[in-house]
Amino acid sequence: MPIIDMPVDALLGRIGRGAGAAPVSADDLRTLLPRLGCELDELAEMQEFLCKVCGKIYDRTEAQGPPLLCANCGADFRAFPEELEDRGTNRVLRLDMLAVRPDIFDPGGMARYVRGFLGLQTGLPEYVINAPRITVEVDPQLGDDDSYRPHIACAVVRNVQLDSNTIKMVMNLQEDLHWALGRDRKLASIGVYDLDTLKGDKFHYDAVEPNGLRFVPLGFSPDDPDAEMTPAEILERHKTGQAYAHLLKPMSKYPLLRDGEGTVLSMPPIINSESTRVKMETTQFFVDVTGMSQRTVDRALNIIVTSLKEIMPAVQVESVIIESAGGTRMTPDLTPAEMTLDVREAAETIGIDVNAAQLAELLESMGHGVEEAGHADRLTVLVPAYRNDVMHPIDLIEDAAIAYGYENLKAELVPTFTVGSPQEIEERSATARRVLTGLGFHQVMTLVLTSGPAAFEKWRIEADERAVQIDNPISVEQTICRVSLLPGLLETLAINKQYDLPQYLFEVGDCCFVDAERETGAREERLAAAALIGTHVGYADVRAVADAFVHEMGVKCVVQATEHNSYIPGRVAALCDEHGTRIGTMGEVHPEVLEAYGLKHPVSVLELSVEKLLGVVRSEGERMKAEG
Amino acid sequence: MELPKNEYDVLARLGAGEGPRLVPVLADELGLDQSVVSAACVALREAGVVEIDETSYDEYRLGSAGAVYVERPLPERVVVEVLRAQGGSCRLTEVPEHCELDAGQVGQSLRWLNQRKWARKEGDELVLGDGAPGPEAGPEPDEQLIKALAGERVASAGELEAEGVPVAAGAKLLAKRKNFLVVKQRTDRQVGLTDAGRELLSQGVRGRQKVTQLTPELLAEGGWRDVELRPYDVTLAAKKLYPGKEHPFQRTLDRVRRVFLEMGFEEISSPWVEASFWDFDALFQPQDHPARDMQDTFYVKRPGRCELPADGLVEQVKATHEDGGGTGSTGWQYRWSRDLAHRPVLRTHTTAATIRALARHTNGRPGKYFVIGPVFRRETVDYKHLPVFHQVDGIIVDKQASLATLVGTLSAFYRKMGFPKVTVTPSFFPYTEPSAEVHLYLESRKDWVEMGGSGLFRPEVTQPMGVDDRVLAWGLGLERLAMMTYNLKSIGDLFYATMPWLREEPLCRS
Repeated sequence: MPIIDMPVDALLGRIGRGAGAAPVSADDLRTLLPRLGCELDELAEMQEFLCKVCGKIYDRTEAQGPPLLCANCGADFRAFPEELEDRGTNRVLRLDMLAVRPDIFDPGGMARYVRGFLGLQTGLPEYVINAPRITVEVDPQLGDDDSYRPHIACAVVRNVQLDSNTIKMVMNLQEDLHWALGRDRKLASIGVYDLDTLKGDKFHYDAVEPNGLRFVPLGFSPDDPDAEMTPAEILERHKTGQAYAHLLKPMSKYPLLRDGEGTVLSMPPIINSESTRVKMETTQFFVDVTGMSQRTVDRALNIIVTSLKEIMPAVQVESVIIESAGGTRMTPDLTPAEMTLDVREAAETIGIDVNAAQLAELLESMGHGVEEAGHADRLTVLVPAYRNDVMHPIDLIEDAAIAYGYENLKAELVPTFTVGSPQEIEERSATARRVLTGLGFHQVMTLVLTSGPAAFEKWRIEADERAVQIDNPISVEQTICRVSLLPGLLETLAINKQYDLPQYLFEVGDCCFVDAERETGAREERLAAAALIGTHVGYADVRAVADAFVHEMGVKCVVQATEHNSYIPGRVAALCDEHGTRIGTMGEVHPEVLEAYGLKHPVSVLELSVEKLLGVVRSEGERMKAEG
Repeated sequence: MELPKNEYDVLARLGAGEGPRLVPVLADELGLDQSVVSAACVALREAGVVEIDETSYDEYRLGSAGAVYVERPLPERVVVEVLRAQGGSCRLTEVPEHCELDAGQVGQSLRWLNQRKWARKEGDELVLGDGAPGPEAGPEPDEQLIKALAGERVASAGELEAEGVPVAAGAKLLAKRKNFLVVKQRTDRQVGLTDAGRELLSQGVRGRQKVTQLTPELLAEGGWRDVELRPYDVTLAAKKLYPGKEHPFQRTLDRVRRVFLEMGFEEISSPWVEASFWDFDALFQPQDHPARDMQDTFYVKRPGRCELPADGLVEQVKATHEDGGGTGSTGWQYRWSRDLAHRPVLRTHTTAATIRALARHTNGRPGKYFVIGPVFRRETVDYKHLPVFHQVDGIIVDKQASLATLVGTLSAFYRKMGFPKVTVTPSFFPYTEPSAEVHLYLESRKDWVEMGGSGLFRPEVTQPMGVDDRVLAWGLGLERLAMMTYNLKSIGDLFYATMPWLREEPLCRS
């Protein structure tokens, strides 16, 4: 889960106080936020740094230290330390947040959420949107596979007054939405520009040739003769371009946003232009969100404009006309979604007694609108347009439960009687473990993932084609599922070389085999294995263990001489059931195998299939629905 | 009256009427070690039946330098002989010409010649002194003592005096010479009966043997009645024994399993290699969800493809993803791919087993299922992560399932797990709504810790499986629980166990 740093003073200032209520304190937030589903990591002092090139502000913990590189404009602070300004400390709440609620990642949105919960401001918040003055024309080529980024939503925000705190919130909001909604700019990316640097009322969102034009990207000075670059050069030369190049490289044309006179605003989702960037003096924003998913693009814009309004209440939001092949529409569209909620269903799901009015009150304190209920058993709920997580009435039920307070629920058990039942293989495995511990063996549990060298080469045998193979292993040591317990046992002996001998170890556990007969193409099998190491350990010892084990498990086995490359010739036997089916192997481990593990004493081992030995059939995955 | 065998033997020997005896003599007569006899005598004296007369005396033997002169005369004796042969005087430098001494030995002899007044130096001349022994005079006392101690003999002053050796004078002369004579102080212990001892003997007394091991022979012939079993120091440490034991983590797994069985749950399982359909799609995880990335999930190359269940179920899941499919949900609004659902993964959670159980479950009936097993995540190894770890998942299908009964169930479950203080707070999990995070109070840390998630399965999960009742679900990772129980620093300590830990970690912890 990512950590969101919420500036304490900015949040408290926006929560304010209700009529006659005491102001909310940082300590109140400590107990309040977990009840709202926000995991509080800590209340921390943060060091604030400013990128003097692009104006981006960073909050860093002492452990993190100053940033090395500007994530926004790509400035390299190691090479040019003078471009980074240390601006002292401030207090933040570090919150473990999940991507589902990006509408509460900024102090504006979070304050709105807290005020609702505290009853300071309930119901659907109203946001006025002014009539559009600017149109964006979308190039139909952006719907093609080789330049695919067809969706755009824009807004104009006027009457902006920035200071160092609000500018930071705006930038963080943008960045948090990039990972939470935008999947690191892939599904949606956001641009904010100084509207006063833009001209005309008809902007263009086009697909352009990678070398079709030049502009100065963010972070480069227009005075620098090399600053003008083509889109393709930006992906090569600019730090941010390199970081996100993978999003555009497969395409033959790149998206580009320009104003009425051809000035470049940005090359989504990579970088904005230097000339249009937001400065402290900026008083009007142009905002765009582009992406691959219409839904995500619209939600991101809705969150931005409503949060900007919460952060800076004086701003005026104005819509933008989007003209595309699919038709003409106006963004942002803050019309709430309508959802019908069954009152009884809600009360039963939460496990509380509430009527329609009480339920409506709970929902209103979570920022939902509730229309005058015609039926007492159903509510029509208006879900704010900035909520990205409400897909089903169940999501409203959870909101009502949070408003009610999990701590106020009456904890009780379902009264239904049921009979517990174990799996036979687990019960039998417990018996197998009891027998082996009774024989003086210590149980080990080893990793079920292993590799070809560990499972086969060290054991002087051919790779077993029945081993399940991982397509994208994370390390060379874990590329397959184990087909034997013995490598784990010998690895354990190897790390215990310095301790008293003899050592007797066993493991009872699953191995996994490819099996075309199975629905998933593989199956597990429960095996038991034992290993003995000591100065005088030999075949006779392991044979005695095998005899005792088989006897205690209540079955009979036949021992037959066999050949196996992992064992000393003439000192290895197959364990077979009464029908002659092989169920296991035992013997003295070959000295070359011992050398491979660096073991200095003889080792004898035994491995057998508990399932085959006992005739237990495991078919859980394939049981049919009819039986119950 | 009974005495230990050795004490009885000593007492009986003294009672034989030959009077007091020295300890070595007694030992010799009884055929026992001197130390055994000494110990018996001390015990008898404590009892007041014998008395021990202790006499100190000096014991003499020759040192390494003195032993040389057993075979040859002292150097001053040689020089006197030379002077006498030379007519009473000789040039000092010429003395070696007349005897076997070299110049150095002659020089060293001057100190003794002078002291004994056997000769004196006059200029270059050495002149026979007044005290020099005459030709007929016998050996001096020191010479006699040396001779008497010849052959590495050890003798007491008394013995030597009895032989006429002038011990005191000889020892005085030799004391000045380095390593000539070794004198040691010795004590003789003479043991004799007291009146009480005689009285005891006259009353009759029996001896008992002390033995360490009670042998089959002693038992068979009743001999144990005549011996005394030697007492031990029962406080001494014994050797370490280690019973064969189950792995501590197995004990954690067993406890969880027992709790579920006691609460009336049916144990289930599911395959490690799992279709993406069951691991993700059936749980309403959209196909572009980051958890499904190659970054986080192990995809399987062999086997290459999993079968899907009956078409009806697959179509239901597809519709739910795309537009809600009649579940009342908006769905994820994208085109669901059947091909991606076939892709095999190593299951990323045991919820894959509970969703399979839900698909098998008969609609309208109550059901409780649990699963314990390994799950796989593409994690880089560190002290809290391994690419494999164990999870437990439990679900309850019930008409009365609710957030309130979830809280009640979690409290009961964790109380049985040994955590009486439980709180739940709102949280988010992709396939549950409402969702709750469980917090447990740990007495050992005096703090709350997060322990696993829970919730009610979303309708988008249950309805395509043909289940209309609400379903409570919760789960937790078990390695973390075990690490807290056994105070482990690293998750690797569980799977790369050392013998000392396996041997020493007790089965029970207070």
